[in-house]
Amino acid sequence: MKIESARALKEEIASDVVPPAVSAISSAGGFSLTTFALHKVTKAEPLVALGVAPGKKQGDVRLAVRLQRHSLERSTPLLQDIRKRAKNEVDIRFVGRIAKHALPWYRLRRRPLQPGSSVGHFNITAGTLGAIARERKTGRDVILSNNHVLANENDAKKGDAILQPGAVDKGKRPKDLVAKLTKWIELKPNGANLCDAAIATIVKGIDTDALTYKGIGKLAGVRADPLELGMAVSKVGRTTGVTRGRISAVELDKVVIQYDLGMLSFDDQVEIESTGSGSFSAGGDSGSLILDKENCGCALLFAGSETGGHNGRGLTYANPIAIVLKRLAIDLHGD
Amino acid sequence: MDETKMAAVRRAKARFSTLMPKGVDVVGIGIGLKGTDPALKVNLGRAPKDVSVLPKTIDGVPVLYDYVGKITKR
Repeated sequence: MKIESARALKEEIASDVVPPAVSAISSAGGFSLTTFALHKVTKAEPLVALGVAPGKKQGDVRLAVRLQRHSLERSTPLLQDIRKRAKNEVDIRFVGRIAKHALPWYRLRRRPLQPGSSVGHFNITAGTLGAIARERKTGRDVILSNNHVLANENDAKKGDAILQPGAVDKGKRPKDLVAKLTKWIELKPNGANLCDAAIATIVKGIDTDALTYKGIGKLAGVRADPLELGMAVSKVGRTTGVTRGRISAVELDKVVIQYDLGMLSFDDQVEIESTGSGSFSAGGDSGSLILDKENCGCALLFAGSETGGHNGRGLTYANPIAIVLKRLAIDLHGD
Repeated sequence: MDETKMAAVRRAKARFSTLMPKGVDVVGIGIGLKGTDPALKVNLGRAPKDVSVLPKTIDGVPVLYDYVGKITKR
């Protein structure tokens, strides 16, 4: 049928067909009841959802009928009437009660602070809290992530608020302020960059759990050996959670990456490809600490592509962790 | 990893820029893996019009090409 016919049919069924069927079921004993608090009861009853589904031919559509009650699924007169009015151009399915999807833990507020969760400068969307590290000079705990996550690509000043979760995950000042920007490695529009990294000092009163990488294990410090081609790695990040991969290239130079600042070039980078069916990372995973199979930190995730790699789902780029720790003068916990 | 083979790939990497024709959209040059041996890995933003211009080996070191498209901050 044509889209206009489907729209008209939707209205007709919603007003002329569904109400009598619901009344008939109510008179015959009513719908089953789910027990929950009275204050959560609203006037919206899960009954029948109506929409438009693709038809069999190109440009053609069908009426979509989604039943949310078994009593309606068993109502032969209702279904016969709908099929007749739609001249059988209808896709009827039982879907039951539809619940909102719960957000994964890594996009929510986490106290104590935990690696892998959403974080960011108050002026950016969100990235990932890669690690809770210790500043060598002061001994204070700091959040480690990327410059573009904590320092907004150099467009920030010391003391700026860092939110957990990040702003896009509904983090707000002052209630979600967990740290203050301390130090960042300047991103250079000209010449070769080596790191996209920054730290923020955790404010007093915020508890931390530096060692737990939920879904992976306990951080075991820093990898001492050089990164090896083909070695297994994992990460937990704000967007894709826990993913696993392998090192597909090392000593990568002239890696050209698009930033708001422009196209920046990076030398001596690490490349990772996924060993699963999806990508190793996606936007929002920036700042994730990449762990080797002994759970030692080995690289800091900061960029990626949508294509390439053995499964064609894109490649991920990371700074070797040694240069990041050296330039920021910090140590990872777990050593 | 065999350090002699790694050293050969590093030499090929250093020579790469002198052998690559102009206009090829290179977005990364590093050391990848071909089977169990190291190889030169060249990432390209897009495929060149004529792929025959891309060297398959440099001084005996195999060259792996990967079309990665645009790389963005994550």
